[in-house]
Amino acid sequence: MEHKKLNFIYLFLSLTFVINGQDNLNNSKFKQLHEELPTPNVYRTASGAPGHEYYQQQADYIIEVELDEENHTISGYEVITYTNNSPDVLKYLWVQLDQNVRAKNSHSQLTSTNSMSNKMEFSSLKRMHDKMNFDGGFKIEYVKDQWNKELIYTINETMMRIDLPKTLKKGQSFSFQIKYSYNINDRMKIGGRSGYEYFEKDKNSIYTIAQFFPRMAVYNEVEGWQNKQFLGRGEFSLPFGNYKVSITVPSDHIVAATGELKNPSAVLNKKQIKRWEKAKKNYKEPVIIVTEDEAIENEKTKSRNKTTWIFEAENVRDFGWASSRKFIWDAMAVDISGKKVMAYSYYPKEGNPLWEQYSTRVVAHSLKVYSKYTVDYIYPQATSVHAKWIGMEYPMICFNFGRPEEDGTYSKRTKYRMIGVIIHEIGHNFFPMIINSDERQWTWMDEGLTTFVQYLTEQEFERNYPSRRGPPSNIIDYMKGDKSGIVPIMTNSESILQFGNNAYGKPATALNILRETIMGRELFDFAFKTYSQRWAFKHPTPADFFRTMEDASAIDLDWFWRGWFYTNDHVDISIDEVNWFKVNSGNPDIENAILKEQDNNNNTYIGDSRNMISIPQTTTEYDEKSVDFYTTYDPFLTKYVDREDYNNYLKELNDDEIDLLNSNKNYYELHFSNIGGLVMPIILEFNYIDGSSEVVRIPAEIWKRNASKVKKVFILDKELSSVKLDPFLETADVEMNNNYWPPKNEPTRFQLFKQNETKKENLMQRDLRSKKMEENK
Amino acid sequence: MKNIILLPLILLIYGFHDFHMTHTTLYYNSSLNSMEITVKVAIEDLERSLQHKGSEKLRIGTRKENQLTEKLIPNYFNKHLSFLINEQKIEYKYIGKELDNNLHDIYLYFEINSLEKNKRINSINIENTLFLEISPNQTNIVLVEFKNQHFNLTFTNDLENRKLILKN
Repeated sequence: MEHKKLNFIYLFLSLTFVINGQDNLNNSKFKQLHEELPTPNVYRTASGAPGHEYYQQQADYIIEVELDEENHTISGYEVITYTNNSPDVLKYLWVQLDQNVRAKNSHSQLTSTNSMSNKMEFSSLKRMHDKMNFDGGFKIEYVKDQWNKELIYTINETMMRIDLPKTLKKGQSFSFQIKYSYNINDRMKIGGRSGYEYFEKDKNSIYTIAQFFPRMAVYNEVEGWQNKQFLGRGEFSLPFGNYKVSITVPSDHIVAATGELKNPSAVLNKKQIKRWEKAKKNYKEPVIIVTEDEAIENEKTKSRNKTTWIFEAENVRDFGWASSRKFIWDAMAVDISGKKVMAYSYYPKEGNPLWEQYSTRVVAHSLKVYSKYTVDYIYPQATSVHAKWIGMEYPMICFNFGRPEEDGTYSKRTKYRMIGVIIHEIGHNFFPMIINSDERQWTWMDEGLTTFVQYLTEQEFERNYPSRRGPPSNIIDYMKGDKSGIVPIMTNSESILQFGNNAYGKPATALNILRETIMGRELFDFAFKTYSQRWAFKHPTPADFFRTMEDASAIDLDWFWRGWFYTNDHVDISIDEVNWFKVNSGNPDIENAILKEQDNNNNTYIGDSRNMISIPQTTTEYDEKSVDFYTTYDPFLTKYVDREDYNNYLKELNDDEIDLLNSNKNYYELHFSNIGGLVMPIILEFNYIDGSSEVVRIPAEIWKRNASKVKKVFILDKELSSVKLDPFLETADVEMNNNYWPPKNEPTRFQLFKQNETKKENLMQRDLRSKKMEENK
Repeated sequence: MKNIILLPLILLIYGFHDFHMTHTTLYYNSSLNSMEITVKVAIEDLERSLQHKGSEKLRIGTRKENQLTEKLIPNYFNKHLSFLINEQKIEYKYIGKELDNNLHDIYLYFEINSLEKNKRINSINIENTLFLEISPNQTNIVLVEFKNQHFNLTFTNDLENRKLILKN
């Protein structure tokens, strides 16, 4: 009894809380997002498309960089031409100095929380030391205008303000030069999106180089100057432009980069050019341009001479490159809507045999599938470069992990994670390289969308590909977790908790649920493609995405965005009660029989049963005179007058009503409650006593008036034996034990495992045993 | 020859696409009067921390899995995940492990079956320091399901101990 009272108090408290929480305001889960989304304007319309006054700035670059392999440094010179297409007059420009994140005492280092613990391992400590001791950051030699006049500049951490000698009005351009250098970080020691990996055995490095030049910040009507500091997590926000980049490296290096190589005859030998030409015609399989044997031969010596590779790229938001004498290089052509795109891979012998078999093939596959769901890939090439431990994306080039063992074997995990990371990073060419969202502000807009299409691409690469993110059941562990560790998707990159689940897994799952369950594939795919087409080579915001998905599908999704993107609620719907009704036909011959049957089936009081035996005869049984009308009256006996009443009743009914009366339908009233908070469709599987079953889908709008409890009546021909909620695991319902009627508990993972364990052999062990038996045969 | 493989171990970083979490469920099975413990971890995190102690490559979940693994797992967990029931330290048994279909995670199963019969469980103390020694930003989540009571706890570098008071 004690805890029943307690429960009551809890209930009482929670009720008061709900009442207080309502505060007379509209807190409906279906309330439109007008207060959350910015007001539409001439730049961005209410339909989610760019407005008639939409503009974006342009930044064109001419860059000359030189790699000093001995000292691991980059020295560079660049000319940036910045064009102001905004209606605003600019007095200064903001330039991003991302390398400064690694400067001593940078804000990134100061604001990253760390603590000393007695459990800290030596390597963690060393890493902390290496990070703090590294002399990173851009060393700016000068900033000059195009007439070599020094410009006034101010550096605030990772941002540099350049004061313009004259204001920059709409349509005007300003060119300026920056000379700079920086030390390249050893990725293996202190990490980083770019840097080098040193190979002790042959004393060579692979350089994967990015954020290697001062880059323009974005200026628009959304953020003004997006000059939020780079702290290391929230990635990049960059305007589009054209690039001409000259990269000077030791002459025995092979260079991969954003854009197209403009001087192949100066940097490649005839054999390589011939093979490259062959690759351009081969749509079937990769053609090796620099072979493994040639690469092994190449890494044995070091050239003292230097060569300059010239690349050009149009309409890109960034530039990345990689250089090494260890590189093997292969290529194949890919047909994207009749246009030829080249797929390239660069990797050292350490990447084989995995890389020569899969990298370029996966690049080609990814370009095709992402193009199908978004926009045609229009850049001339896409490159995958082998880089241990990381996955990082730049326009047309990305750095990917996946290294086999030294003996050339590799595990299933190494293989599928490598294919997964290549699909993901190639996918970033679409989000955010082409559909250029602000990564500094919203990680989910590029990571979530890329991860979603990654899931589709993986499943199209191989049936039942072991995808990590996408299926709703994979996000349950995260969503049912402690709410203090979960923030809404609509949270700035730097403040996200549980980054991988929040910005990759949950948005990818949400989109997958939209596609499979809420909108359906046809409407979703059209809307998703519309968003991609509208914002290709432009700068979209979350509102543009939310609005377009509705605009192109005629589905009000505000409740979905609100629940999945603006709250940390989870899905937990339960079946509380199932009540069964049948129509009373009014026919006394039928109904009296039913009533009698029910009466007989009623449980009998134990005293009555015992009395049947202990009292052989009652007074009324042996004394006839003690009997009257009421002693023998049978309430279930149908009399003439009852039939007369029934016939009179029928005369008052019309034909439809009589049909209904005789239909013998089953009426089931189901009670549901929403425990998790997220409103979702109710998907039910009805199983009938005759063994057949049926699926019923009720849209999420069933919760529109009461988001916590609903009742629904189903009229069924047949009698139900059981009901299952979310039978196809499509809503990410975190608690399946309340999804059954009659109630049923699902065995936990532990219990399932233990059941199998009693056989004392798991599948892996069985496989091993089988292999051993074969070997010994 | 083996020494060549034993290169000094350096901290793995998965760049920007991986984040360190474990997920533990502690479920009280009233019919068996036992606690069923399921721990989901990233295989790479598990390998890193076990190998950290200077062991050879483990290749967990592959055909070439090092036989040491089955010993190292319970040893490691006994040090980094411990339970006091009614303020008494309680031993748990390693049952086995199972790869997740996504090839990224692995489930580890443990069981406490030394609970005294008919004795009320009034409190559980949990200490969780899984993988904190290799990644200070580790987050460890523990779900406790005891009869009708559910608890949801987050453990980090700053918060390694939690105590739960249970109602019977």
